[in-house]
Amino acid sequence: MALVQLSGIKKSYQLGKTEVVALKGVDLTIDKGEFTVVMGPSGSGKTTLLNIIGCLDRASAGSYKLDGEEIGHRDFNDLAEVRNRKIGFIFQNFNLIPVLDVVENIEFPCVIRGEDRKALRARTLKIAAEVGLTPYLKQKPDELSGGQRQRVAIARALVTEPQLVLADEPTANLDSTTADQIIDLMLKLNREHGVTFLFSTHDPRVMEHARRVVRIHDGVMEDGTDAAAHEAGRMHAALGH
Amino acid sequence: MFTLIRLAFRNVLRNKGRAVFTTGAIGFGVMMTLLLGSFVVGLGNAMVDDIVEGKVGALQVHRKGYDDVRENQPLDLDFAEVGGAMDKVRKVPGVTAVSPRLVFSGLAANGAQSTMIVVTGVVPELEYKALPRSNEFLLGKRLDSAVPNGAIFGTELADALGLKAGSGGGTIQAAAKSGQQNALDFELRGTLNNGNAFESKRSVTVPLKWAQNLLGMEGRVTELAVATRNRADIADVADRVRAALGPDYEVQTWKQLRPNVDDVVNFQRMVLGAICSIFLVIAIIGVINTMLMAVMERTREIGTMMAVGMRRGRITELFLWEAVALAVLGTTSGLAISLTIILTIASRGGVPANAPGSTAVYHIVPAVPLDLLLPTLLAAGLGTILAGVYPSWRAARLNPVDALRAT
Repeated sequence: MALVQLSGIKKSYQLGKTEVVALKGVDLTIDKGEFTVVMGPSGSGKTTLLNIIGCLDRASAGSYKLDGEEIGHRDFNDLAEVRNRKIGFIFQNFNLIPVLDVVENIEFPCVIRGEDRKALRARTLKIAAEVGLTPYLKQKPDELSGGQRQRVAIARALVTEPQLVLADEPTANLDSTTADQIIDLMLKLNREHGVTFLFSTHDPRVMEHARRVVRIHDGVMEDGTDAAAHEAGRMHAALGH
Repeated sequence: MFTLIRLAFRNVLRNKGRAVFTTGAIGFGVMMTLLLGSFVVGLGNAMVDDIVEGKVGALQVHRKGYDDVRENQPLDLDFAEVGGAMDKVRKVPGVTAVSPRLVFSGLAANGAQSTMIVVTGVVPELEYKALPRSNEFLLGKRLDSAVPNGAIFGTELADALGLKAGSGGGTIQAAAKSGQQNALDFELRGTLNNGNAFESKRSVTVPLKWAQNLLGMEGRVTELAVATRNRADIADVADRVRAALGPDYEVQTWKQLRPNVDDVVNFQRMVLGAICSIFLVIAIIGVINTMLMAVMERTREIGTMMAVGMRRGRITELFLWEAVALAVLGTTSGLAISLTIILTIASRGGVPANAPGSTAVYHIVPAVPLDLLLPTLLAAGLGTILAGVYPSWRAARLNPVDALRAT
């Protein structure tokens, strides 16, 4: 069943006097429970695509349905509500709030929507345990390693029980062992909770595990399972990187 | 809301150096306002104390019409020293002491030169009870009824005549009520420098009996200086004295006799207000600067909060709470430090200083400026919060995509 339905999505920016066209009519459907990678070179439009899917940005033209609802022309606060309820984000730089400890960071998206603290705390502790953060609950982000910080970000993305998790280069700032652990963790969450993951990455290890790879080039989508990407991932794994 | 407040306080304290600098600027503004205010109040109190307890009394009573010709020190508007007005005034509730005076002009001479003087004859015991600070700046001995020809001169007057307290004297000459010129010898007991230039050059105080003898006005006076129990109800006591004495007498409060004191205090307050406004503006600019820096530095964090679903209104609210946190920390620290300094200086007897236009040294005891307290705290607090409005608006208007891209 389709969770994300993009049809004819166009996005252009005004850069000084020049109009830059980032997306030239993208059609993409992502089903619930998919583990999908968007790949493409720098400037291909993949970040713009993820921003639109993540409701952080609006398309210049086209239709975007999330879970069957057209959300392309909603206002800022409506989109904030959609992000809060339906989408989780995992960023390359973790993007944790430095003055909050691990538990508070995880709970933050739910706290700002006024969720009941008791039920929330129980859910937070369960997710924290699931991602291996139980010993670090009272630590501040600057007291954690990169891998631990990304685990906090994953837990924060999942605590709202979203339908879609967007991960922008989630392993780019991690060493290979930690990156493998983070990929395994996300695969496990995808498998066990049925959470839909959509990645933007260059990491062959992520691509190796992706069930679907979509390529974007000059703002145009080339959909399908990318054998070359899988092959690159397998070779990378075989070389022990 | 509590989460936002907690987050706001933590955000303010995350950069401790900047928090100290910004709250310090607000605190400094509050502290300077209250400290300067406390000294303005203290100086005002010292001036009023000096006038009420050292110079004119809380009230003065004269015969009707005296004030219009006061400069001439008229002797024909006199009244009985004992009984009559004196007794009526003493019995008025709120009056604690009454000093009968005979004020006249004359010439003081040392045998070689003479100079114009204004003489006040007093009963020392009654004068010192009604005006207990009248000898605060005395060098030498007080007047004493046992020394009937003792006199106290203004310092510059004594110097001009080459007189030294305790080792010299001269003659005072004056026209009696009858018009006849009389002269009597005096002995200089002390000199008084109370900071008033006119009094230092022209003022002489002598025992009342001696003055009455010189003027041929036994049992007569021209003025009553009145002390009251409370400073606050002087006007009420004045009304009661007027009612007791009837229309033949005029009663003036110290404010009517020395209207410039209020002007001086009001002028000081105006200057204080201007100085404090400058402090406040500097503090507010500091707050705006700090908060804009915070918005710039935390742009990606703001983007993250937007990404996880925080609405623009709540972003604004968060930064406004940070302004509130700065306001609370700044005003509280400023209040605490200024109260500590004021109370410490006050407990040590104040600081010596010259009153405006005076050479005399007063001890200014700073007092908590109660009427300034709330306006200062409100101005600093609300000013700080208002200073947070623009940075908060800037934060909330950020585009989440651009904000997340920030380094």
